[in-house]
Amino acid sequence: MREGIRAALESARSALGMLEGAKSELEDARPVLMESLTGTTHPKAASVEVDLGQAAEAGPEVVRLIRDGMAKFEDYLGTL
Amino acid sequence: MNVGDIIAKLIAVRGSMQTALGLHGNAGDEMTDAVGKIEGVLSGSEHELVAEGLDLWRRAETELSFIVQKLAAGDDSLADYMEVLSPGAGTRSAAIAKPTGEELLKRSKESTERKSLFSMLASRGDEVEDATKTLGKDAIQLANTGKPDERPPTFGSGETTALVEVTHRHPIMKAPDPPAPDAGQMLNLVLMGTAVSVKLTGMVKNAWKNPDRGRRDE
Repeated sequence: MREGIRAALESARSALGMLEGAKSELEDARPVLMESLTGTTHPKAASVEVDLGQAAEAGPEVVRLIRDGMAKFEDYLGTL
Repeated sequence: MNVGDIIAKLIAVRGSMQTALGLHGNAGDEMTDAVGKIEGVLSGSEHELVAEGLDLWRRAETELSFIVQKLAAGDDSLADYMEVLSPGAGTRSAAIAKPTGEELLKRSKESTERKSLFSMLASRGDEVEDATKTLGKDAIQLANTGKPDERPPTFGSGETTALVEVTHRHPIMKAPDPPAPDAGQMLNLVLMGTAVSVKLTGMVKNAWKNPDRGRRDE
């Protein structure tokens, strides 16, 4: 059982590493996108800004959820 | 910023968005795997920490799915916008993410039949850069030697070479060739020569006869 929980925690850590990389990509992309779309009123351009903004804003919440869940399972490991 | 610059930046943005999309998708797979492992070893557990931990990770899965959907939608919208700016510049994310063999084959044929605006602009940019370098070299050679390069400058490559060939050297000024003398002019020259000869002969003879002529009276 312990090994199973540790393996699950390892998967969660791996997910956090990927999210860190994704966050870096989005942080690089957003200012370039904003600069490129300056002055345009095309609805597709507006959609891109909204979608990318919502995705970027949801990132920290996902990280928090994964970390909080890891803390719960680490605490549970301590009770065994 | 012209359309080519904007397209180039948007292509870079799409690359980052698609990388982020793939990373979020992989993170979601990892969390699904993590939840599955916990459910596998703690299926009968009613411990509060386990229940809370699973709830948090399932919410993370849901959030990751939401982010993936938003990034995919944003990528599609960006592709549409790029198509508006320049037809052919936007490619659908679905076709990039998981192309089938038929789609790959079709895309391969299409890519050989048409050039995207971006690649065309990039090649034009290279041509302008090459032309600028060549012009610079010619200007230096002209300044150093006073002679232009003998080789006529040509810019571009392939089919566009003939269209953009330019000549920028200074024209070489040449004096016109003198006209060939005709028979009348030849006769005049002979007569003038004869007259001069007779005149000189007479002057010499007079000088022998009157050696004091022309001297100042003392």
